[in-house]
Amino acid sequence: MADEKKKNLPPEAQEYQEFQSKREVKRPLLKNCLKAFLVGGFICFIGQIITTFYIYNFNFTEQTAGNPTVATLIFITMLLTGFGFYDRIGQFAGAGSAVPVTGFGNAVIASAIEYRTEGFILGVGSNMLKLAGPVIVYGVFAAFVIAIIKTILVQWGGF
Amino acid sequence: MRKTTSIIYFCTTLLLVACGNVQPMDTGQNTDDFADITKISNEYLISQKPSNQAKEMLRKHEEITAVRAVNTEDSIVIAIEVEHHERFTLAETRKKYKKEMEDKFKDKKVEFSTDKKIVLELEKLEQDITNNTITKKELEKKVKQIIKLTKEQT
Repeated sequence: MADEKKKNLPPEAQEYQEFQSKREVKRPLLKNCLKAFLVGGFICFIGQIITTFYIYNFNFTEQTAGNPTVATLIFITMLLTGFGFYDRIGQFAGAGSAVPVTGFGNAVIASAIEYRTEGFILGVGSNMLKLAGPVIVYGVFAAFVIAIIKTILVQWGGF
Repeated sequence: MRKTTSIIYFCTTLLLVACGNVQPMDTGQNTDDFADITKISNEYLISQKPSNQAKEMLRKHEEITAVRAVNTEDSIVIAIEVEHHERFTLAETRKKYKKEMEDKFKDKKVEFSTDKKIVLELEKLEQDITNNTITKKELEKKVKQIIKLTKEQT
């Protein structure tokens, strides 16, 4: 597909593309992966500390401590997003800050802040889930597909 | 410059991977079959003999690092801690030992848990029983509360 497009281009453009692909700064893939791994892992580590805190100090079991932990993490994200600090973490860590639940919180809260000027109903209300909507849709869809695979394996595969 | 950065990252990865393979520390809990248990002896309240029996039975298993158990006249609550790598198969482990305990204590209702919270609660209760700072009624109430806690779902 990309090659076909390339063939249709005039020769100058093809030359230019070659020229720029040679000089383009390559993405440091390994470095990015490591950053994402470390920062994402650190966010999960904070989550684990919060879970342990709830188990030790409140009436939550390992099963139920997940709910307040998610709420707390999203609350912290809200503050960090509001103060403009989460953007910096996002720029540094990439997927490491987007994949945990804090990334989801950031997507919702950042949209809410951005569209505040357009009013609470048509601005915040209608645009808040613009970024987070696809996450929900594909999250649910992925869960559905995985559930089907698991059912097939467990029911008929005998695993 | 780029080479140096790559080397630093490579070393960091190596360090992280290498650290993951540390042998379990010698805490004195999981070296032999001596899991962390406290036998309770207080005959003024409800006899804790079944709980002590359960602890004796469970401590023999290598993967169990701590056992807590308290019983009333009609039910027994047992909580265990397992070695960290065993947590991958936690559900199976729980099922296996629950069955073992149910076979042993057929006259009692067995509640079996691997939850840290239940371990903590039972530890507190064991201390209360040993120090004699709890009445029979309170003990029964507390056990009921813990059983309710084990059943809580998200």
